[in-house]
Amino acid sequence: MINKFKNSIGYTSEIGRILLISNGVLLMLMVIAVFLSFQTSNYLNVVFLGLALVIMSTSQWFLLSFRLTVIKYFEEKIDVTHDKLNHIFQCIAVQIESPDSVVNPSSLAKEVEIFTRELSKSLTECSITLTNQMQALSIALDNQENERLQKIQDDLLPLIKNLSDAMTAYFNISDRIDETLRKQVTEMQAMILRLEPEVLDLSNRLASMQELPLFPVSLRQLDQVVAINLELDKNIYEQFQVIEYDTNNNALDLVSSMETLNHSANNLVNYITSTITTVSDMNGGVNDSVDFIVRIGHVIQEIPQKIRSDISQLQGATGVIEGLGYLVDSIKEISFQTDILAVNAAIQAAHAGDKGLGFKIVADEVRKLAVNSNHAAEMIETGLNDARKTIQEGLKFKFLEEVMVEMDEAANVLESVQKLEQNHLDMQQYYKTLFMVINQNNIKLSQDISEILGGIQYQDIVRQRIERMKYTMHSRNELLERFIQELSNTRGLLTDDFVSQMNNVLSDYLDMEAAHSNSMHVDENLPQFELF
Amino acid sequence: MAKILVIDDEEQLRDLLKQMLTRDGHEVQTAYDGVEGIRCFNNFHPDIVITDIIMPNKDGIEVITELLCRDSKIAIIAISGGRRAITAEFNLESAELLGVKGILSKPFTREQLRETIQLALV
Amino acid sequence: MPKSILIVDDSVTMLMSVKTNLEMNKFKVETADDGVKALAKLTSGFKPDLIITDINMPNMGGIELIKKIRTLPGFRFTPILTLTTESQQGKRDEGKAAGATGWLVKPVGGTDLLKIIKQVLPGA
Repeated sequence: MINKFKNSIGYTSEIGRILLISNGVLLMLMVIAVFLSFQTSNYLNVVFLGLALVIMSTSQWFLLSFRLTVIKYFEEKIDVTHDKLNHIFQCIAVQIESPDSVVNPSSLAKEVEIFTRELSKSLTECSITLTNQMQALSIALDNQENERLQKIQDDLLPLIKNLSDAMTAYFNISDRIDETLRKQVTEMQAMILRLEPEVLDLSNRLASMQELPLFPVSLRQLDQVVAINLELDKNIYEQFQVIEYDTNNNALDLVSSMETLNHSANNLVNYITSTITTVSDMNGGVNDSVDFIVRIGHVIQEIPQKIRSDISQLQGATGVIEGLGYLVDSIKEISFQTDILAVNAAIQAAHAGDKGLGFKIVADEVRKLAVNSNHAAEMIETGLNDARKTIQEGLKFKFLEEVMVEMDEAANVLESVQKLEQNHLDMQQYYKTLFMVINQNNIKLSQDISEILGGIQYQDIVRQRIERMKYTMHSRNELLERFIQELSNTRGLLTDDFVSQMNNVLSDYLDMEAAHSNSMHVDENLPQFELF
Repeated sequence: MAKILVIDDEEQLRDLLKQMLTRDGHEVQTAYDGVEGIRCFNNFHPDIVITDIIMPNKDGIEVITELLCRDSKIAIIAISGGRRAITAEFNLESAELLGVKGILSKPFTREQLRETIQLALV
Repeated sequence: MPKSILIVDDSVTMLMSVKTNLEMNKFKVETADDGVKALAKLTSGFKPDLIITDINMPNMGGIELIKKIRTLPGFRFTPILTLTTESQQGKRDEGKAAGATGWLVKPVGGTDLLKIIKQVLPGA
């Protein structure tokens, strides 16, 4: 390229020489013509003038052909520039349309969407269930519902395990996201690196065009068009730097957010795994206390039953004794009747005199029997009364004794209840702590995720910036194409005002960029966020 | 030197800590539970809060959560000896995950205390 | 009762990023990818507590959308925030005149966005 350019400079000096020579020859011919026309006849004048015309036209033709060469060369240069621009657009287009591209929203978005959905779903589920379980737990703790407590604890452990499973699943996804991000950032940087020399080369080529000789008006226009072009290139290049800066920074932010998230999640998983042993220890203690209390509960439940059976036994014994009492009464009755019978027999015996003496003896014996049996009945009665008293008192003692034993057991129950209460306190403390720590960490985790989600917005900003570049480059291309066409059509004489049109392209671009936020030049006067 | 708030329900330890820290040149205030501790924090604006974990009314975990939610840069040292089934490790691990600057398992030496305070002040 | 939010943006990434963030924080979220579709949603009975819209979109841009929303019955006081890369004072004034509640310049961090939403939606 440089050689070609040097050649064109060679042509420039040659044309000067040719002009000089042809002008010199022309002058000489004129002098000769004047001289000869003065000295000889007019015929020779015609010959000399004809010769001069031939030389003139040859040099004119030579000049014309040289001009065509220059324009051809210029066209070629513009074509090269055009190709370069096209190439750059294609690069950008390929990047935008490539499925793996960071500029393409679908692949990254989908990946991040899947992972955030999964994580937020499991986090939300876990924290909702955890909250519910905690509420149920505190109710159960307050009401001392042991069975329910046990059930909640049984439910809680797999829940915590689920949380840690979700976290592990998340780690795998986060690794994948991390990898995708890094890959995309590398690609974006590679694209920028590839485009950078091409943009520079383009600028150089356009700059070299300034030194081409053209008609003064066209030359001035070309000069200005090239200058504006360079200015535009400079601005586009600046935007490339902004993109590179944004891509780099956002990638770093994203990677560090991912690392923070990984760290928080990891901590939580470690915490949960290491604290689960404490729960099982505590469960053991609670189980022992609960078992003892249940056993004592059964004993206490049996007390009324025992009392009832004692009372019925007592009633039975009393019934038997009362039955015996009736028997005593009948013996008394019998002895009374026997006595009457004996008295009657004695009276009858007295009436019979000596004949009745033997009968009197029998009567006396019968009477003695009656008295004795009455006496026996009374003795039985006394005995029965004593027996009743003894049974009653005996039962009373037995009952007291049992109560005493149970009172001893009850003292143990008190101890167990105390133990259980302590266990409840421990458990309350434990779950409160666990809940607060997990809850705080869930908040932290969701904040980390929010930050990552916010970070992906840069993709949209980069996309819009590239779209603005694409639009501007397209306008410039059209203009340059018309410019070249007019250069060929008019053979170097430009009619349209390309400078102002090019200026419009540049100022449009600058206006568009100024209207949008730029992370490298933050406007201090206008806030990122304002409420009207 | 530093302004230090000590929150512990155990009177003996509270007094001992106050004595030790005052001797090291710190300005010390004490509180017997979390509620009193937060009240004290609001008036005293300490550089460091040293808090026990298991306390009546408002425990150390609640104090740590409340203070760190207000400002995550507040320097807090958690101290704990555990109670029955609740081990000191569990309490301190929980406090660490919440973001305290230092942890100390009871009983601890004067040197350990000094070192932890030094690190928490950085 | 979760608060509902309508997000209008032509970028899939923006919609996804903001939507997921808000849903994680217990908001009910609907999306539309241009002003025409957003308006169709609002006129067919959906009444969000907050609307967040981009400015540059095909079919109907954000400024026109805000003007149209303000003429709908029942939407005079619904907070409308813009979320855009446009940051010039002129555009902000246009937004304010159209009836926007606030102007946010992309990118807005996840937690920052939540803080701003809490400011315009007390009790959320």
